[in-house]
Amino acid sequence: MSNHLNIIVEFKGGMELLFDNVTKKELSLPVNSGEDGSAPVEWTIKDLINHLKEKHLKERPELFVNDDSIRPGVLILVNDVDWEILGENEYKLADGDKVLFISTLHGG
Amino acid sequence: MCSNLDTDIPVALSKIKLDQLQFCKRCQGKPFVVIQRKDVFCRDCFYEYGSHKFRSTIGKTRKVKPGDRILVAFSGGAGSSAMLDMIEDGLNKSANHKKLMFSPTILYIRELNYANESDAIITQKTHKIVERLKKSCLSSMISSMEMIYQDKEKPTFVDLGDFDPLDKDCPIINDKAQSKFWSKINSLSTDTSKEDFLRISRQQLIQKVATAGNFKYIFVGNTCTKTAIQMLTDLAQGKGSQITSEHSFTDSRFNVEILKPMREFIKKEVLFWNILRGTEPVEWSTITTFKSNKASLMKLTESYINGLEHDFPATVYTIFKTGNKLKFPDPNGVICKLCKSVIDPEQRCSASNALQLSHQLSKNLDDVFINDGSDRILCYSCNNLVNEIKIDSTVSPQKLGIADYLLYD
Ligand SMILES: [Zn+2]
Ligand SMILES: [Zn+2]
Repeated sequence: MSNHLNIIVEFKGGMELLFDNVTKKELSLPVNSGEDGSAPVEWTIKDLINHLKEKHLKERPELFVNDDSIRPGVLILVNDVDWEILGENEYKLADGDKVLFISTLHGG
Repeated sequence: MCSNLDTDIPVALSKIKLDQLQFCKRCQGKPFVVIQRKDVFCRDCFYEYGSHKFRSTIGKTRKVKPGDRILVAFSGGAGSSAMLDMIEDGLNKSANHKKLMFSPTILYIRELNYANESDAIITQKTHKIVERLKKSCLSSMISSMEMIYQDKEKPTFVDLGDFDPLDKDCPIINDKAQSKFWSKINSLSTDTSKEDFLRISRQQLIQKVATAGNFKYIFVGNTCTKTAIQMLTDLAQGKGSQITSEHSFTDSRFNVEILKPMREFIKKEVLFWNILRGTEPVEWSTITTFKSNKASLMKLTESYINGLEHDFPATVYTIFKTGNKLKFPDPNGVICKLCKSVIDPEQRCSASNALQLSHQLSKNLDDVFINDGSDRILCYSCNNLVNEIKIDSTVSPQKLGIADYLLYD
């Protein structure tokens, strides 16, 4: 039996434009359980950003990421709390977490 | 006020080592947002902080009196959504010293489809905005961008109840005016000019409606972040002389004075206010949506400031405060016909003159703007903009007024 981490990802404030106008995704992320060596053991926000960029992004990656990190001007909330309080990129995702990406940029 | 953090630590917080975790700076409660990387607030304290800031921004200028009729410009975006929510919330407060006493009406201006989005998306966004207005305890008026070219005898706005986006007979839907609008936009060669054109058009239209409705003031939802971005963009475009009026709390260049009650909020605060209060803004795509960071001067400035803000969290405040220290230009100076700013006398001898000279020298624009009397006094940047609009070659240059290049009476 393989392990999965189930989370919800939401896009607002123009971020949804980059994801085909989808505002909410339920993701089941593979967790390394010994069988699947390529999956991370734990998922950080940084891993999630990278995963979204590689697997889900529909338009222009430069509007989403900037050198491996989120583009300045995009805010992230985990379970309705500012990610700056939670350790930003290093925050470790837990089952059931809701991650919201919201753009401060005018017109997306 | 706020529950102390013991038993109900949210999942996301429980995994942070306790010595790293920051708590609300006012009540030590559960953190919700951190402003400028130092001020942590819980939800309740952030709410108090926001509504106090809104009230005091309006209150400290002592302009707005009980009963004043105010036109609230609502675009559906984050800034004006938060402003509308703060107004509605403030009108309903029970404590007298916290209650807002003025009498607001909402104005929503329907924008055109600048980023070529699908009809389905446009319809969906319009529907969301109309539903938001219906939910409000305030009355709303609707106008549309093309109304700057509305036929003189026709209305430029309708009441919310009379608005039907699919009804061709709705007075604020005018295909002829709309195509005139598009032809003006399309004749501008850069996105920077297009953004400028839209900004001036919007300003003029809001003024038109506010004047017709006899309003005392106009409220706009410009945040501190937007002000800082616009200020640097304006400087780069040679609009130094109008920065003070355009970006201070009160802007009295026009018929009806404009006030900016959101101007002390940074964009992050506005977004967290909307999350806290469950207001759902509708972001209308702009000329530069989907385009690169370098598409326009404003977009470039925005990404520059955001990049700086990432490492120096006080960037926006610093630009904003520096702008506040600038002196208002001499009110007896010459006024630009288009943006109504005082034209810097120094500037008339430098930037504007150089520009005029270069146009005098260019073959295509012979004597269109030059030596044509006092009717065409424009500041440096408006002169730039007007010169960029392509001239209808069937009209003789002598008969052209500013209105032919841009807008309105
Ligand atoms: Zn608190
Ligand atoms: Zn001007």
